[in-house]
Amino acid sequence: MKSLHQRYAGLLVLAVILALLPVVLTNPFHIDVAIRIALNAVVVIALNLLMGYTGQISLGHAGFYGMGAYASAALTTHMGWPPIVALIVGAAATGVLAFAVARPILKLKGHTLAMATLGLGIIISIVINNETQWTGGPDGIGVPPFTLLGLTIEGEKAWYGVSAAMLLLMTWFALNLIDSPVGRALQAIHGSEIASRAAGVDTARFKARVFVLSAVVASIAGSVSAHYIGFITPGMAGFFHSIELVTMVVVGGMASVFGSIIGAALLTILPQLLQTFEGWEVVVFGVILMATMIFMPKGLVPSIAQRLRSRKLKEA
Amino acid sequence: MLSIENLSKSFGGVHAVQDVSFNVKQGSIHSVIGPNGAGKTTLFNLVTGVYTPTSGQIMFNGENVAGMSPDALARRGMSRTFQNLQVCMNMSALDNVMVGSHLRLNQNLFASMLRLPGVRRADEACRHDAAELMRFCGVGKYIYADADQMSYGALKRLEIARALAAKPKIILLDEPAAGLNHTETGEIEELVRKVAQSGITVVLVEHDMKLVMNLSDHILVLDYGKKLAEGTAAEVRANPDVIAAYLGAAA
Repeated sequence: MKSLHQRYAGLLVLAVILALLPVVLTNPFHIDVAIRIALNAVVVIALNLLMGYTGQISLGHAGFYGMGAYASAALTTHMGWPPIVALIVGAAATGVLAFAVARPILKLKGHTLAMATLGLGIIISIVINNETQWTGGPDGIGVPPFTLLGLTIEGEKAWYGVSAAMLLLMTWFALNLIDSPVGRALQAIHGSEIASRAAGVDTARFKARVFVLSAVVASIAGSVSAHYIGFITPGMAGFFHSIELVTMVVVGGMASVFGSIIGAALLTILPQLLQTFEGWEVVVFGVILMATMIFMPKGLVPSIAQRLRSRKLKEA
Repeated sequence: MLSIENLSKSFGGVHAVQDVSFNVKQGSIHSVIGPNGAGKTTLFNLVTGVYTPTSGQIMFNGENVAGMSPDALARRGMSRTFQNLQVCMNMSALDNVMVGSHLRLNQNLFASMLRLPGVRRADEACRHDAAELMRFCGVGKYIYADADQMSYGALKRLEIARALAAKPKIILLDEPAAGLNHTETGEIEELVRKVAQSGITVVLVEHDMKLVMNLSDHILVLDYGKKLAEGTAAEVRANPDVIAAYLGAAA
C-alpha cells in the first residue's frame, strides 16, 4: 500500500533537479545537452512502457520520432501551417499508422516482432529519404521556430523550460499508468500472456494501445526536437537512432521510469565526453554497454536499487 | 451450469478427447481424473478456451462458449489456475492478485495516466480486497512481497487468489496440489472446500487421489480421451473399469 509521498517522491526529486539545473549550468552547450537529454528521455520512457513493462520490443521507434519531426518540418515549411497544428496532425498520423500496423505486428513475438518493427522503421526512413520535394531527402530540411499565439520559443532557457516540463509531465503520466489497472494489465502481459488472458485482459487490444501511445509520444517529441534543432536529416528516423533508443531503455533499466531518464542522460552525454578519444569513442561506448549488460543485466537503476535493498536487509 | 456435450479434439491423427459429455452442477466440486495422457489437460484447455474443439458443445449458463477466447470466458464468469505456474514474476504478489479484478476496474488509458479520482478510489478498494483475498488463501504474509520471493506452494495459492479476485461463477483448478507435500496438499484441500462453500462452482483436475476422493461431489474418469466412468467418489472407487485402468487389467 504505497502512500502518496512514496508514489511521488521520485517525481519531486526530478522536479527539484530540473529546477536547479539551469542555475548550475551556465554554459549554453551544457544546457543544450540537458535539453536533448530531456527530449530523449520522453521518448525512452514511452518506449519503456512498451518494452520494459509490456514486454514488446520495437526496433522502429525512431521511425515514429522521424514522422513527427518531418510532419512538423514539411507542414510548416510547405503548407505554412501553424507549428502546433503540424505537431498535432503529425502525432495523429503517427497514431493512425501505429494503430493500423499494431494488430498484425503485435501478434508476433520475440525475434519476429523485432524484425517486423525494424522493417516498419526502415520503410518510414526510406519514404523520408525519397520524398525529396516534401522532406528535402538526404540533404535535410530547415524547420521554422515554434510559435504559438504570437509567442515564439527562443533561446536555450525557454527551450529548457519546455523540454523539462515535457519530461516532468511524461514521468507523471508513466508513474500513474504503471500503478493503475491498465498498467497492471500491461505488466501481466509481460509476465504471462496466457494468465493475463485468463484474467480477462484483451491482450491484443492492450498491446495495440500501448504501442500507439508510445508511437504518438515519440512523434510529439520528434516534432518538438525538430523545432528546437531547426534543421533535420533523415538520420533521426533511421535504424541507428532506433537502436540508440532501445539501448537507452536497456542500459537505464527495463520497467523503470527513472531508469529511462538515467539511460537517456548517460547515452546522450557519453558520446560528447568520448569525443576526445578521436575515433575510438565507438569502441569505448561499446565496452561500456557490454560491461553494463554483463554486470547489470537488468539495467542500471533496477540493479542498483536491488543492491541497496539487499544491503538494507543485511543491516536489518 | 456447465454442460459439456459430445466434445472432441484431435491433433492430426491423435484423438486427445473423444465424445466426452458431462454436467457440472452449480455449487458442486467436480473432479476430472485419469491416468497420464488420458486427456485431462486437453479437456481443461478446451473448456478454458485455450484450444478450439474439433466438435461438440460447451454450454456455460445456457450459452455455447466452445471456441471462445480465454478473456471472453473470463468476462462470462470463468476463472482458472495453471498446472505449470503462470504467476507474473515481474510484479508484486498483491499486483498479481489485483490483475484478477481487471474486468471490474476502469480500463481507460487516459483516466489511468491522469490518475483521476474515480480510478484512484476504485484502485484503493481493489488493493484492499486483494489483500483480503491473499489472507483468505493463506498467503497473507506475502502481501508486501514480490512474486519472485515466494515459495512454490505459496505461488500456487497466489494463483487461486488471483482467480478468485475476478469474482467468478466457476473456477477451474488445474492440478492445484501438483508438486506439493502432504501438509501443503491438506491446506489446499481446506482452501478448495472454503472456495466451494462460498458458492463458487469448482472443477478440479488432479492426480492426488486422496485429495480428489475427499473433496469431490462428482468425479469424471477419463482414459485414452474417452469417458471411462462417472459418479460419486464411492461409485468411482468401486468401478472395475477404473481399477483396471489404474492398476492394469488383471487387478
